[in-house]
Amino acid sequence: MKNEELHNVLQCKNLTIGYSEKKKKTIIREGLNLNLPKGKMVSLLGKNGIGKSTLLRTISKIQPAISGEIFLKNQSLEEISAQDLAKIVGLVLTDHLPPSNLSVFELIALGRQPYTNWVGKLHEKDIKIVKNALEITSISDLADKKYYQLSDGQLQKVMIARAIAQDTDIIILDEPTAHLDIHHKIETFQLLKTIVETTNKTVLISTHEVHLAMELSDILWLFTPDEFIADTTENCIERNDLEKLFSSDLIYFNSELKQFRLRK
Amino acid sequence: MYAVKSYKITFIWISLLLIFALLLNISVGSVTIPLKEVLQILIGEESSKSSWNYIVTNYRVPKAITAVLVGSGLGISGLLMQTLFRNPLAGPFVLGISSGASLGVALLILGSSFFGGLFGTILLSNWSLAIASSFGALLVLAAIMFTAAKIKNTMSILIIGLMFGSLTSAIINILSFFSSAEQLQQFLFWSFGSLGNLTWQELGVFALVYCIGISLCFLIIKPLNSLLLGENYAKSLGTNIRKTRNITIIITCVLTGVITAFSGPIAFIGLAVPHLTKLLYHTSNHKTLIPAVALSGAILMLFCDTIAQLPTSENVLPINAITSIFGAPIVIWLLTRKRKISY
Repeated sequence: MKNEELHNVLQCKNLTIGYSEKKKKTIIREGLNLNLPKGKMVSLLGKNGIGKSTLLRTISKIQPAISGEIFLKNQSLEEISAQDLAKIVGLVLTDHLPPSNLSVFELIALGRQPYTNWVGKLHEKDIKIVKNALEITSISDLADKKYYQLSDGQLQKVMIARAIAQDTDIIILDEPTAHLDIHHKIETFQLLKTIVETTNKTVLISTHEVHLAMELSDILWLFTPDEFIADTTENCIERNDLEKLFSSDLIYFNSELKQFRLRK
Repeated sequence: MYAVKSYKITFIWISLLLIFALLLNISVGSVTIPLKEVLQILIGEESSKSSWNYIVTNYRVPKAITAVLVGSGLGISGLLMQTLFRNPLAGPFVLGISSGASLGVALLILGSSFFGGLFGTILLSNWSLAIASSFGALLVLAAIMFTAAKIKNTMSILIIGLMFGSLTSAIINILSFFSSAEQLQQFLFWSFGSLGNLTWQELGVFALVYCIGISLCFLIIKPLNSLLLGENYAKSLGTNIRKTRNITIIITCVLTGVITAFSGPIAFIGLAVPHLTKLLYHTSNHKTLIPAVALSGAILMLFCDTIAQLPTSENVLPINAITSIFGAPIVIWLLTRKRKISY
């Protein structure tokens, strides 16, 4: 048990997620028990509206949990200050950026905010970290461009570079490949895999790319309508767990092809 | 290579322009005073006419300082509002501050008939106008802070501010309806805005409040920069959204409140200056933008005031008309020129 706690950067105990407005509570999932092991790539799969984003937002303290406990590095999320949390969890969201004159370099450098002084002065070390993030994501040539001049694929890399520069234990990505072409989808997943392998960070992705998730992630979190399954990718494929994701008449899961196919 | 750009050279140029604008502003007026004499007076020597000394030290210099405070204060307030509301058309007055101040002044001038003539005549000094409009601005500030505490969505505050604006204008309309022509004229003149008329004592109070507002700005440079990524990202970087929002609103209310109190509601500077500055500096970093906006706001205000003096003429145009004549075309030009507006 002790050993297990050391290996998990994130634990959720009996967690209930959803939205509460005044007295009315909308529960999306309840009784979730999750462990996020250190240094792994974890993909969260599930159909639309099943609570993937809600879970990610709850873990990253953007919205409050309805009940249950969340532990990050064995500290209760409630007790972690916003400043400290910013050093543990980095985000890549689906939010559109509001228009501004930010250059790619400046945008990534904002990731250093948890470490900089009260006016956000960048020191040598910070600049080095930002440059390193540019190199890992191979976008050094874009550094001086304004972010609004970039394509969707380039911008997504910039957002990932920003999360890398934030230097957190966990990077959480909410559907990072949603509007990218197949080339950029694969590139993004491979980039994330490289980050996990080279930096020992934990990467948690919610995604609809079942095939890529299976190819590259170590662990799958499956949100099915009835249950929550967390296991290594191999085990999930062996048990044909992915079949449960969509209880649909239209498609079935072909475990040899690692793909959903049309029922004919 | 890339990395943090330095704007030293731009800042030096702009500072020189500010000095030029200041000298120009001080040397121009209904009485022609040669520049050489003006400089002599400024460094503390006697000029050839003692009346010139009086005009420069007690009228023109305070007016120039007022212009600097007003221009920079409104510019900064506009910048803060545009970043907070992520809206390029936000300005210092979106929160209804100027409407609140107008209501205070309207109650004093137009409402004096309700409270009896004595009350009206005694209190209609510069000080009472300033106090009345500060009180009006504070009232709106309190109302906004009260609603902001209950509201999570920043955008709703924008709309609530606009609603406060409409409410106070409606009350002013009702007051105007029952007022005499003389009172209406007095109120109208106040609403034209004016940079002159401030004594050194009044200017001291103005400058003190202004400095408090400006020094608070340093607290929010970093959180405002994080807000450039949107509220969720800002939160994930450790920014306390609510605290940042409250400080930003307080700064804006204090600055625009005190400016409106001493020089009336001055239009367009707060809206146009941040845009002009961003075009000039191509940055969104508030560490650069806040001083840059302050400088360009001061310069623009000084030029507007210089024009309002109608050099060599005895008439002075209402400053509000000048800023609008300049400000409105700038905003239109910006909208047509740039497909993508950044703020």
